[in-house]
Amino acid sequence: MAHQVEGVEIDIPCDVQQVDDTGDVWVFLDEARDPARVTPGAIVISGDPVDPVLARVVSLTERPGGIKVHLQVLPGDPGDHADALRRAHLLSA
Amino acid sequence: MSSASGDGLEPIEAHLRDEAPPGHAVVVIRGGPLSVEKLVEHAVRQAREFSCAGAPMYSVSVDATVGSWSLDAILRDRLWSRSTYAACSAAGLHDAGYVLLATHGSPHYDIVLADGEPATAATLLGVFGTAEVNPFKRRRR
Repeated sequence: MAHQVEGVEIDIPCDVQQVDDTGDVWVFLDEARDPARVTPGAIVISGDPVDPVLARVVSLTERPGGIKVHLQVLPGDPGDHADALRRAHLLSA
Repeated sequence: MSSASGDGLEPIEAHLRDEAPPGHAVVVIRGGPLSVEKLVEHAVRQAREFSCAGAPMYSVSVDATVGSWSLDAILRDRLWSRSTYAACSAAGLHDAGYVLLATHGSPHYDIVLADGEPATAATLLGVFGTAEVNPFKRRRR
C-alpha cells in the first residue's frame, strides 16, 4: 500500500477518530508499510500524509480480521518534535 | 470486551452506550481529510473488526456535541491534529437516512454505512458539506 504524498511516508495509517473501548486508535498490522517496525513501544509516523502524527505502539492483538494494533497518538506536530531533536543535536539535518 | 460473534467479528452491540439518541440540534463532527479514500479506508477497517446485527459493520467514526463537549472542545482536545473538519447536525444525518450509534466512550459515535464502496462514502461526504479550517490545529508545516 503506497503512503507517499508530497514526500510524506506513513509507517502505518490511522484514523484518529477510530477508537475502541480502550480509547486508543486502532488499525491492522497489514496496513503498515513495514510491519516489522510496528512493535510494542515503537514510535511510528501514523495518521495520513495530509496530517501525519507521531504515535506509540501500545499493543498487537490477534483478531479474526488480522493483527489489531493499538496506537497512542502523541501530542504535538511531528515537525515540532523534529525541531526539538535538531536543537539538541540529536538529528544531523 | 465481549466474546466475538459466530463469524468472528466483535458485535458492536456490546459497545453501545446506554443513552438517549442525540438531539437533532447536536453537531456531528468529522475530522479531515474529508476524502472518499479516507472514509472507505475507515469503513473497511471497521468491517474487519466489528459486526452490527450480525453482519460486518461498515461505519465512520465521528464526535458529537453531547454532554459537556462543545464544538471548540472537540476540535481542540480530540481533533487538534486535523487541519480541517466538517460538521452537520444529527437531524441532517437522520433525515438523510443514516443511523448514528453511540459507541465506545463519549463523545464518539459511529455513522453506519450500507457498505464500504466509494459511492457510499461520497454520499455521506455530501451530507457533511464543505470542509472548514480547524482553528485549533497545531500547525507547523
